Amino acid sequence: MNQRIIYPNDDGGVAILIPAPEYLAEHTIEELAAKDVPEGKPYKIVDVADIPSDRTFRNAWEFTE
Amino acid sequence: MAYTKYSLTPSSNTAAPPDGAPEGMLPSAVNDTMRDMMSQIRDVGDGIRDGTYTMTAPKITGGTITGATINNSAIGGTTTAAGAFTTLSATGATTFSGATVANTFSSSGATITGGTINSTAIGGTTAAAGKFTTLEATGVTTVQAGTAALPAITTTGDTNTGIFFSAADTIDFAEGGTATGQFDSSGNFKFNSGYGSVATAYGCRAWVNFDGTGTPAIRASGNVSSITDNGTGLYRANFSTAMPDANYTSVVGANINSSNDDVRRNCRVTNWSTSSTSVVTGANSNSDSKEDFEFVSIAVFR
Repeated sequence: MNQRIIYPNDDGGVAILIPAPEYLAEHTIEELAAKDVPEGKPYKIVDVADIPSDRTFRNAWEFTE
Repeated sequence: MAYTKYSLTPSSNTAAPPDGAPEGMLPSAVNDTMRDMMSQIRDVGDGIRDGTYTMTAPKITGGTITGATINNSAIGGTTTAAGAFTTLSATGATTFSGATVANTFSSSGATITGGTINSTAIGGTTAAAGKFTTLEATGVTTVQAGTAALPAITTTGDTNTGIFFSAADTIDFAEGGTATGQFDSSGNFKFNSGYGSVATAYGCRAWVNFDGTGTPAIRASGNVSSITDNGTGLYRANFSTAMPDANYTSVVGANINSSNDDVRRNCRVTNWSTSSTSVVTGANSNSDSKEDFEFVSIAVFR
């Protein structure tokens, strides 16, 4: 629950995948990434603290590898 | 037993009369020796008859034992006898007639025909009632189909409530003699629950309640592996187990916070796929004004 998966979305922004606790109880976050990140998209597993909580410019966020 | 003073070897019984018959014994001693032998024979005979004679390794081959006792327990006779054995083994067929078996009885191939268990008849042409503290079967256990009024599997004191089988490949449930639920032969689950009749229930196949503001987080969910935050007011619920097709119903209910009652706030479902469903939240104004909502609930029915 303290991790998120980020990847670039189709609009040039960044998508943030928030794991469901019930899913992580039986799977790893890597398995979740393999399932829910669109095929071919690069992604990163980051700590939730690394995600800004101020969403004022949410749509301007970008994904950098 | 004084008879043991005699030797099994005839020529060795040469003790002085009356304990033996040596060569050249006086004729007057012959009757004394014979009387002594008679006395010993009587003593052995009485010992066998009265059970005071201890046989250290007796062998009985053939014959019939009538009456008598084993370890103070009577054998046979015309009346039922009780007996106790530490171990009783028979390599051939064993027939019990009117027997009471206590504690443990084991058999590798016994057939019980008729008879009773705890005064309850076994088998026969009519159903019998019986009670067991524990009943275990390592193989398949088969019961009658039963009815709603008399379910096949029920409980003590409430015999019109339980499980019955109204048709092939069908499992039914009854309460108070009335059918209240069923898994039909197609796997559909049906129940009444105030509907008025036992009808198919269509389940919620996925649901999630999450906070879409700040650092979005899932409060609780079912069959949802994650939500995707795709930007302001744009969320997608990803299913743990995919839907069979995209023809399901997805509903969303949301509010920007717990105190807002502005009816212009809006939320919509924007996508239905087998792996996920997407929603958007925002304000209902003349422009496309998406907003993050604190309370977003999505439910999927199929």
